Amino acid sequence: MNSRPSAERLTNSGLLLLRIGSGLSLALLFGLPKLSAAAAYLHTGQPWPFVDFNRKLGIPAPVLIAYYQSLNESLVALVVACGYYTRVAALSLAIGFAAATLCSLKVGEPSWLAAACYCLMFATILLTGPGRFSIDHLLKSRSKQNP
Amino acid sequence: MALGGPSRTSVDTGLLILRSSGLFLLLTFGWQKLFRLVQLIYAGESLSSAGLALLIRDAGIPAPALGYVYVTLSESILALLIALGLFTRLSAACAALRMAGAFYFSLRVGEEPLRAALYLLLFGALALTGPGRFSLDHLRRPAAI
Repeated sequence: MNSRPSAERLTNSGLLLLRIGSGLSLALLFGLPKLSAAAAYLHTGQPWPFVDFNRKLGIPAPVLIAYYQSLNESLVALVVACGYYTRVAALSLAIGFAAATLCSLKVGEPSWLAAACYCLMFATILLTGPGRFSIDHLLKSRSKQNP
Repeated sequence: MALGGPSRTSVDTGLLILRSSGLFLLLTFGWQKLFRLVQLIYAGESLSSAGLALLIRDAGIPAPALGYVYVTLSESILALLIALGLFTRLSAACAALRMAGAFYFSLRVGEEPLRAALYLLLFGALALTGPGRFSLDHLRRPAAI
């Protein structure tokens, strides 16, 4: 990344901030409520507005997509925050939020801005990787020490 | 890492995407605020009487006209500098400070704070990571990036 150790530490700190901020905020603000709604839909058959929204937009397999995005915004977001399988997780989230941005724009919801910001963050993490302060880096260093 | 370690080009492309948040802010909010500021200045009206300056004054922040100019320039000129990668760390730090203010203000008046929080995160991260190689800062001082 950068030849100077202090600059490299700053870059890695920035990536840590981006990962923890985006992953945790997403999981706590959106993911966990979606996961709880998904559980209620699965166990008690309670109506799930997210599925209705997907149906309204004509998205194929609306229930499956609702489950996918709920897992994306909860467990996968936490995985990004921890820096574990970061790039795969960030790819899944970037795709999910690109679609969410398009859907929000289509129905004219103001939440498209937040979705677009999340999309930018996860696309960045997909390309930069998690940085040094991550489980991925720890595992990689250990595997180098014990080949 | 499951997709393999990122190459330097990949990291720099990631930082370029992160910097595009500046362009995003400029296009969605910044240019409107800048246009309004220029209009007020040309009309010779007091900046303290502008809507945003009144909100700043109501929040108890001193020098509301200065605050209004700072907010407007943060979301327009500084956002453009971030997108171009010129004086990136300084611009991002100033823009992050503005977004911290917006976040605090949103919480105080009961508005949706998420957008300000996300921009705070984006610009805070950029202030730390720097602009990467695909930036004017890199052209200006290649050894420093």
